[in-house]
This record gives sequence, structure tokens and C-alpha cells, in this order.
Amino acid sequence: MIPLVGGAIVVTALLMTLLAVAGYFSRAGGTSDFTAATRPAPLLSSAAAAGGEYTSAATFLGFAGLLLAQGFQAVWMFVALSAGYVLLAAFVAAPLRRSGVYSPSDFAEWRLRNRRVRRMVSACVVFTGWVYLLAQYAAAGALVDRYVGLPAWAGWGGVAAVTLVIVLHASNGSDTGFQAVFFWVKLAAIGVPAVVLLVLWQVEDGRMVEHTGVPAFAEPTTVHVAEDQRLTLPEETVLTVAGRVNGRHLDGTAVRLAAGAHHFAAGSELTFREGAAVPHADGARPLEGEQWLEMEVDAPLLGAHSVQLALVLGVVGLPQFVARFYGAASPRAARRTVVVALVLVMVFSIFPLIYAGLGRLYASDLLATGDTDIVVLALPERVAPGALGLALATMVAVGAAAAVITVSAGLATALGGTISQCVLGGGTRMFRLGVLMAIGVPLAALLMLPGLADVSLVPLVLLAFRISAVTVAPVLLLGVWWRRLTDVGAAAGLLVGMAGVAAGVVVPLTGLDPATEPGRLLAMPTLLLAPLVFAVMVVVSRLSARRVPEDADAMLGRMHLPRRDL
Amino acid sequence: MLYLAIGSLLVALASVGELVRRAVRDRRRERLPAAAATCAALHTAALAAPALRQGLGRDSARRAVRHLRSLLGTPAAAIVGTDGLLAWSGSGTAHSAAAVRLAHPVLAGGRPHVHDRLDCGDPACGLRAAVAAPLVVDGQTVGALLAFAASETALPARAASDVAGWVSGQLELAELDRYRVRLADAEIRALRLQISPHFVYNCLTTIASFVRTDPERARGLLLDFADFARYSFRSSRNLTTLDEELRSIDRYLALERARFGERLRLTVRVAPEVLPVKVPFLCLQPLVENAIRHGIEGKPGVGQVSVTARDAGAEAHISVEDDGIGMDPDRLRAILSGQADGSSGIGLANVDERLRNMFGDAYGLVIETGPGAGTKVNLRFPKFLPKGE
Repeated sequence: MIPLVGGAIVVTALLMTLLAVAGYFSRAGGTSDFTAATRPAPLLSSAAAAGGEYTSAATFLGFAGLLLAQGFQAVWMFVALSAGYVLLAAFVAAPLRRSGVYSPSDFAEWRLRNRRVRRMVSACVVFTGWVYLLAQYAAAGALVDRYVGLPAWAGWGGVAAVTLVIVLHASNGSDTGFQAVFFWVKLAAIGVPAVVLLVLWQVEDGRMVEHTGVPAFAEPTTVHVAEDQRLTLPEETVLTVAGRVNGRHLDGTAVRLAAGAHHFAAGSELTFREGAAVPHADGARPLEGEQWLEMEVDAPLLGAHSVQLALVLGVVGLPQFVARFYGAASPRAARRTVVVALVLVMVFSIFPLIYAGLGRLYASDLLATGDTDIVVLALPERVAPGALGLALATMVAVGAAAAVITVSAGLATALGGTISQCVLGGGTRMFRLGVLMAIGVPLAALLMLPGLADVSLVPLVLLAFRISAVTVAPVLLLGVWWRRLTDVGAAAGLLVGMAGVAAGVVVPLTGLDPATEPGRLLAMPTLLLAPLVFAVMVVVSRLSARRVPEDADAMLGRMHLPRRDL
Repeated sequence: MLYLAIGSLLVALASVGELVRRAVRDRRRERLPAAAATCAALHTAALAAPALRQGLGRDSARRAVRHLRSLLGTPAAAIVGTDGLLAWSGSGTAHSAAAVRLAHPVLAGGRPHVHDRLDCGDPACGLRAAVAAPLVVDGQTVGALLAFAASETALPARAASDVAGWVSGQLELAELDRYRVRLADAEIRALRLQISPHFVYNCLTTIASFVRTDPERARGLLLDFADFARYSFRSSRNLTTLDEELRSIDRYLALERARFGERLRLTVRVAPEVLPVKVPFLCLQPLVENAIRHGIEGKPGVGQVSVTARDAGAEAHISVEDDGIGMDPDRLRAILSGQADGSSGIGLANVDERLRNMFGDAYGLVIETGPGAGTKVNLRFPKFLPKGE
């Protein structure tokens, strides 16, 4: 059965390459009517394109997995994202459209009159994009690993190749149509199976998540421990262990383990009885049904709010949006694009909730291996074994593959443009080289650093949002709204932001416990880091007040005063 | 995650290394005193230059005078224009009223002038002597540079007149910039005039032929003509949007289609993302007109003209293509370098030059053609110009 699905994915990937090439050329396929040819892209399609560039593998697969592992408190992330979109629509979209910039780097150079700040902003944008691309590759690796049985690098290479083909051979068209079409494809691929599964669930038994009790195995299950790790048992459990547990070697004998964390060595095989509680891998906390459904955040508030702030500000700094505003017909259209895109993304976001809910009922054993990212893919065959399940699983897999490839293509185009403009000097050939670098660097990183592929999707995407939130977003927000921002101030803020992000990644690895005082100060959560970046920008700008560009007033006027055109 | 961390760490280390390298390099530079003095003087002059290149005005003088004073090494300096004091820098602002009086002989005579025994009545003010040097543009004295010092011996009289000479040079360059802009404007104006006579004549005769047979169409065409004319003759703004440029071409083509009927076949493909791209005013119309002239007028049967605008990352790519008689590449080269005789292709050369002036040499026209092989003109536009409008 699994090879069948694998074959389907390979075929659809090829089909999609063709479709993509056709899709790029679909719009404006040659007409003799000028009025029709020069019509701006319809609002719905540009909004769908903006949404399509955002609905990546992380949204498609990762959110449902996160909800399954952490419970409904993760829904706050959607709330934060919405807040980010509102911020973008209210404060950034229209002024950026009026300013006529094409990328955050352009904005920095135009507003602050400094090419070095432009380079710094470009570096941040490129780094954000690379981390985002890493998440796409990792998702592709997981897909290929699970369905085709090929090693993960085949998936990375496949995505890189398909993206390269799409961007290089068909990029000279219009990508709004392409992204918009694939947004609808993705929406259908995640939505239709979700609705069918809901119906099947109601027809079958319609059982609800029990308010007391933790996830349990529905049938006797054997769990393979791939690498040394701690599994948390929610309650006292009897299980058969072949391998090492807590340093004790066992040879297929049944043991009774108390509730709590236990250390299992790589290669161990654990066999659980029917009805036994599912152990939780990767430090996930076992949650009773009621806790799981609770929206109240029980994580440390500092961390939770940091994630939310990173999302709110991160949306503002994403480079795809700025490029989308450039193509909008008017400032008003730019603002509306954001609002409609928000609506579309929120419609999309309903479905991970459904998958997570059904996942708790049918696929909670995924918690034992930590593979919660694949809950969306695994669920159809659990709920409906047989042809229907296979068909639905294929549909979801195709959607996930589409998500990976479209988002990669969008990112590669944006990064290729940024790299070629900033480093290589522009031009068609340089653009191609830039795209090659955009796609190649994360691939090389994955190939050379084997540990990278095991990071799950949501943390990677959150890291991308965090970088964008503490670097590009402050420059955009202050640049749009504060006359006195100077190039030196922006540069200082960008440096602080980058250093903060780097420290945040490094400190947990140096052995310095983030819970202790020095660790906490160094690995500054976004909740502290973002205000710090804003403060540094403001203070340093005031100190270098002489460097405020001469025509700052004219620039602010251009961004905020309504004009007829241009 | 660990590797990501190591990666960021490496980037941070590289940045620190670069900073250290620069600091070391700067220190090494300071070891040569004479070279260092020259370097410092040139650097100060370079700081003043951008303001002076704006021309002599209150604002530019205010920005430049600070650097000029540090170049002269005097406690105070001033710039005076023909209609009064423009800027003052340094101590003793009580003298600023007297500066105009001190500059008067220089403005009238055009030669440097030294004053001693200045007295402002303030015993704390140490300024007792001043030198005024003329600022000359095109043989005309447009202002004076004044340097103040405690005594006549401390006055850098020679340096003041040298600096004034340098400032005059910058002001002349500013004048040159202004001429260049004016020349470009004149060229656009010439381009407009160049389009009109030929085209206006053809249009009017075509419209006239419809007046009796199809009055509605004739009226529509006249309105198209009016709109096209209004666009072409509107006040000189150098940049417009691709959207507007295409609209104007639409009207132009409506007129041409009325004239050629079925013989003109047209294909348009425009990616909606590139519609707001800023392009030089009237940069496409001459190319389309050329395509029609070469694609249809020179040969029998149907001619195909296609206009394509594509989105290519940070650039927009536009091409205008016809399947007409084509052109000899050597002749084309001569036209583009302005060495061809006759009036043909002036539009092409003009568009090419304006693109190069505006965006740089990399953005000139790229033309693919050969005798009998049709012509394809490719243009590239950056989506964003850091200089603004």
C-alpha cells in the first residue's frame, strides 16, 4: 500500500512540474485586447497568492502535529498570526505600496539612504528565507522517507530540483496566477479529506475526547526507539522491553514502570498492551483530555508570549508580502489583499484543528515516536482503512508536496532577487545564480550537518519568524512611522537583533541552563529582545540625529498622503 | 540546531574580524603624517562636495560651511551670496552682520581681500581679521567665502583663495548637472515633436475616411487621438508607470489598427505584477511604432506585432517583437551609436540613451534582428530605483 502512495507522489510531483510551468504562463496567455491584458490581478487571486506563499509545509503538516502534542493552547499561535496580519494591514501595507519599494532591502536603502543598511537588511531577509527553506526541505525529506522509502536526501534533492526547474525555466512569467492556483489546490487537498474524515468519524462512532484519561494504544503496539531518548509515561505501565531501559538490560521481559520519565537506549523495542497509556517522546507533557482541550496557556508565560510576539512581528517582516504590495493596483488594494489573505489563511487553519482532534482519537500513538508532524498524513488510513483511506492519504500527500514546492518556489524567487541585487549586481544571469544560491545553501547545510534534518517543522519556522520579527519588522515599522530613524540607529538595532537570535540558538547548546539567570539573559526571549531592538533603534537614532535624511519629511509624505498616482 | 548555532557564531566572528581588520588598517594609515594630512583634507572636502553640487543656496551653503571651516582651520567661516549672508559657522556670530559688508569689495571686484582691525565691541570675541575670497562660476562672481581669525598673521589667506577656487569648481559642476537635466528634458520634448507630424497626418487622414461611412468609429478614434496627444504632450515628468504607458500604447494602436485593419495582428501578454513598474516616459511607444513601420509597412500581407511584459524577480522584462523585414545589424549599430544618416531610428537611439542615463549602461536596449528575420527589442527595468523619482 505504501509503495502505491509513493508512486502516486512521484507521478504527481512530475505532473506538478508540468502544471507549474503551464501555470506560470497561464495568465495573460496572449490576447489582442490591451484592456484585458493590462488589468491588475484580481483581489481574490492576489490574496490567494499571498496566502499560498505562506501556507507551507509547517502550516500544512506542522500545526496539526503541534496541536496533537501540546493541546489546543497552540491555537493561540493562530491568534497571534491574525494579529500580525492586522498589524500589517493597518500600519504597513498602504504606506509601503505608496512608497513603491519592491523588497525590505529596497525600503531600507530608500528610507535611510544607506547601502550598508540595505546589505544588512538583505542579509536578514536571506537568512530568514534560508531557515524557512530548511523547514520545507525537512518536510520533503519526511514525506519521501515515509511514503517512497527512499532516504531523506532524495526528498531534499527532489524539492531542490523541482524548485529550480520551476523558478529558472518559468519564472519569466507571472507568479501570482501560479501561487493562487496552488493555494486552492492546497486548500482542497487538506479540506476535502478533513470533511470526509469528519463524516466517517460520525458514521463510525462519533466518540469524543475523554475529559479524564490520557491517550492509550487501541491495539497491542511495538515502538522502536531509533535513538537514545527519554520517554514520559503518563501512568504506571506494564510493557515488554527488549533493549536497555534506565541502564538496565532487558531481554523481552515484561516490566512495570512507574509514571514519569524513563531513559531508553537506541535500538530498544517496547511492546505495549492494548489500552496501555501512550508514552510521550521529545519532552512532550502527557495531558489529560480536559487539559488537552484547554485553551489556557500552561507553558511559562514568558515563553508563550515570546512565541506570539515573534509571530505578530514576524508576519510584518516576511519578504513575500512587501513584493505583493508592489504589484497591488493601489494602496487600498494592498490593504485589502492582506485582509482577504488573512481570511483565506484562517479558513485554511480550521483544518489542522480537525486533524489534531481526530488525531487524538485515532493516532495518539504517534506521540510515542515524536512523529507528530505526520499526523495529517497518517490519519486517513487510520480512520478509513482501504481504498478510500488510500485515496484520501494520497490527496493529503499531494497537498503537502504542493505546499513544499510552491513555498520553496516563492522563497527561491524572492531570495534570488535579493541576493542578485545586493551581492551580484543584478541582471538575468545574476538572478539565476542568486536562485541557485538560495536553493543550494540550505541543501548543502542539510547534507553537511546531519543533525539539522531531525528538528521538527514548527520550531524551524518559528525561528524564521523570530529573525524577521527582531530585524526586518522593526526597520519597517519605525521607518514607516517615525521620521527620526537614522541609518546608524537601524544598523545598531539590526546588529542587536541578529546577535540576540544567534545567542538564542547558541545558549541552549552550550550547556548554560536557560532557566538560570545568565542563561536567561543571554538567550533572550523575543518578548524582551524585540522591545530591546526597538529601543536601541530609537536611542541610537536620537544620538545620531544629524544623520536623519534631508528629505525624511518628503518620504513620510509620500508614504502617508493620498496621491493620484505614482 | 547546534549547527545553526555554530553557523551564526561563525558569521558573528567574521563580522568582528572585519571590524578589527578595518581598525588596524585605519591605524596603519595614520603612520604617514604627510599622507594623513592630505587624506584628512581630501576627506573633509569630499564631505562638503555633495552639498555644493546642489548649487549655491541657503541650504547647501549651511551644510557645506561647517566642512569648509574645518578645511581652513579657522575659528569661523562664512559664505555670502549676492543677496546676503548664506551661512555662518563657528564662534563670533556677532560678526555675521558685518560679513556681507566685508564681502562687498570681493563681490564687486572679483579679487581676494583681507580685512584687519575688525571690532564687534565684544571683548571676549577673538576675531580681529578676515579674508574674503570670491566664488566664481562661468567668469561671474556669485558669492564669497570668508575666513575669520584672531590676527592677520593667523589668517590662511592663500588657503582661503584655494578653497574658494575649489568651491567654485564644485559650483560649476552643479551648473553642469543642471544643464544635463535640461538637455534630457529638451530631448524628450524633441522626441514628442518628432513623433507627431508623420503620425498626426496619418491619423487625421484615417479618421477622415471614417467620418462618413462610420461616424461613431470616427468619433471614438478622435477621442483616442485626443487622449494619446494629451498623454504625449503632458507636462514633462520623466517617469511614468508601465500601466499608463501601455494605456497610451493602446490608444495609439487603436489608431494604427483603424489604418491597417486586418493587416495588423496584435498580441499582448502582460504579467499583472509589473504594471506599477516605473518606466521612462514614452519609452515604449517609439518601439511599437518602429515595429509597426517595419513589420507591416515594408511588406505585403499580415504583420504580427507582440508586446510582452514579464515579471523577473527584481526586474521587469519587456519585449516588442514584429515579424517584418528586419534590419541589418551593422546599420542598427550605426543608428544606436548616433552615426546613421537620415532620420530613421532616432526614436530607437533616443530610447536607448534615456534608458542608459536613467538606469545605467547595463539597462540599454537589446535588439535581436537580421534582414528578413523580424525584429525583437528587449528592455529591462529595475522594479525599484533607490534615487526615487
